[in-house]
Amino acid sequence: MTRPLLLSVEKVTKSFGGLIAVKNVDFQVEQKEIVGLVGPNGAGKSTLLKIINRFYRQDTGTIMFEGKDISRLNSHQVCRMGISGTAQIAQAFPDMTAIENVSIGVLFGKPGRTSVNEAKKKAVEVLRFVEFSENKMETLAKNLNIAELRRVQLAKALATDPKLLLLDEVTTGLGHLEGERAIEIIRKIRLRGTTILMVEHIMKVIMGLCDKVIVLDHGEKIAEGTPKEVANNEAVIRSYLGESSDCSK
Amino acid sequence: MKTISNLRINLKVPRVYLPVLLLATCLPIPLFGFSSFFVFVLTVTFFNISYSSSWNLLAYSGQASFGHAAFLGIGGYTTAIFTIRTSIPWLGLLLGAMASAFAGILVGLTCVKLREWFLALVTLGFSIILVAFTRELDWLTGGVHGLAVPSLLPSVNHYYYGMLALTVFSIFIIYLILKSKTGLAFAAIRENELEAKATGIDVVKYKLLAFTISAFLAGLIGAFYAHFMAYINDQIYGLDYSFLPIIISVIGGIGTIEGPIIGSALLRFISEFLRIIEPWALKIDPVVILIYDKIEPLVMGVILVAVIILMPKGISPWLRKYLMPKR
Ligand SMILES: Nc1ncnc2c1ncn2[C@@H]1O[C@H](COP(=O)(O)OP(=O)(O)O)[C@@H](O)[C@H]1O
Ligand SMILES: [Mg+2]
Repeated sequence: MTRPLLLSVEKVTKSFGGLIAVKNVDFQVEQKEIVGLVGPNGAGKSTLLKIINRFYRQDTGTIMFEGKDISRLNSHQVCRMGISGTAQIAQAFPDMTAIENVSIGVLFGKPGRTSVNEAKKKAVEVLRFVEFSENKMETLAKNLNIAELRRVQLAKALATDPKLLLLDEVTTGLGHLEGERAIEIIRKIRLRGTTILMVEHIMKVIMGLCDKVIVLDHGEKIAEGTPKEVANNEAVIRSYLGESSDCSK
Repeated sequence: MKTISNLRINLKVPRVYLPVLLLATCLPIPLFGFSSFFVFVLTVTFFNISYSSSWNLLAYSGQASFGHAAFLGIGGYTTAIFTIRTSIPWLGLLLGAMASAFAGILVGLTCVKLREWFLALVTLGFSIILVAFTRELDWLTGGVHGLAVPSLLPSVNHYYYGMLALTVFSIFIIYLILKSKTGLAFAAIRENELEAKATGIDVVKYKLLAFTISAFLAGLIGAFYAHFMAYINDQIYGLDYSFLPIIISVIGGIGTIEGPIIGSALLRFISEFLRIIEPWALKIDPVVILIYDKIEPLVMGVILVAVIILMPKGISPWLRKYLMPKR
């Protein structure tokens, strides 16, 4: 069964100086799909997400979102079109409370007018959805711990009513229990019908959550398929065992 | 279950009532028959407060201007030239503010992609360019001789109330902006520009908006100041005027509404104190007279350094930290 396309990444390449971080990558995300992006450290996963949300400009290739070319747009524009997410290093507005942080997403992250007070009420709802502690709602972001900060960032992204949610290692740096809770929240988001493109380290998480997995290595896509197919793919196993494909050949 | 109303949903916007109340207490001062010198000094203090507030608004959006005097001067020269040539009173104030706002857009456009240092230097460069233009175009600006600016009001007391009104107006406008959606965007950009972009904030648009409003206010204040001083020359573009709002805001508290009031009041207090003790100092040792005019900048410098070291965010945030519960 194929669903309508939401995102299409076409022949995207990005280099930093001499280093090619993403090389000619092609893939597609269908509506309501959960796609996992995996690969060893430095494979280019974060870079790819940052190209999609327009933090970086690709050198070549195009990105289509809902049939529109977004290759020339800015971050704030694609956010308002429905792409938002969380960064690998949790980001926040440090001198604002949790509620204020999330209300920025409500106020600016989607089209339409909202008053500051309405935005704050909405922010509280979203923070509750991500199970953020009730008694930290008014705490400044700089005084939150990493797990709380990640929830604030997730709530901020959700507050923009994204059609495509980009998640970069939401469980990294969390304890086991916190990690499990984060995954539960992702399941809840999935139930709302939000499409997700997520980078994740832990294979078990990917296996349990994703409809499709894309494997990157040295900036190149080396495999794509269902979690099962990918787990049995020879190239993937090789890359995960650390034998870099170009060195061994 | 906890309801929304239980949560103290209240933006951490600088309070405005206290500053406005404080300024309101200044209302009857001219009626008490103080010397007109004292009234003049207070009027200059109001000018310091309002002008620094306009600079502080820009700082609130994360942008530092080292050449804010440019906007002051554009406002001043515009109203001076217009009023001299047309003899139409008052309208020059608005024209000065608008000319300054327009300059703010131009400078803002070159600056929105720059950060900190570079932004600061471009604004400084702009004010230096204006000095050169002012000297060259002497048929218009009076060159190095400056211009005598026609008066709008009959007495120092009138200017006192005019400047006080302008100060309350500026502070109130800034308060309304900071409390609004726009203020949240400014704060977000200042705190994390990349994240602000990723959260849907049009950073360029809001930075330009901050520049425009800040320049408009500085231009308006500069225009009124020119009429008050009855004279303008290219010193208005000088470093003294550019650093004044920086020093005042750094001491009082960058990005706070009450910061410029605290900073201006402290500077004024020190300089008046030094003036009052001058005869005593001279009595102790008459040689002091040779260096006395150097003491004020020295004391200011020491205070600036002390504040930066002891209260890096300025006096107001420092006071708040100790007077208010931690969040
Ligand atoms: N801003 C940058 N400047 C220079 N090199 C970068 C930058 N961001 C990432 N890289 C490099 O690009 C490669 C891919 O990085 P990244 O996308 O973060 O990998 P991953 O998220 O898969 O671990 C790495 O070699 C990294 O060092
Ligand atoms: Mg990464």
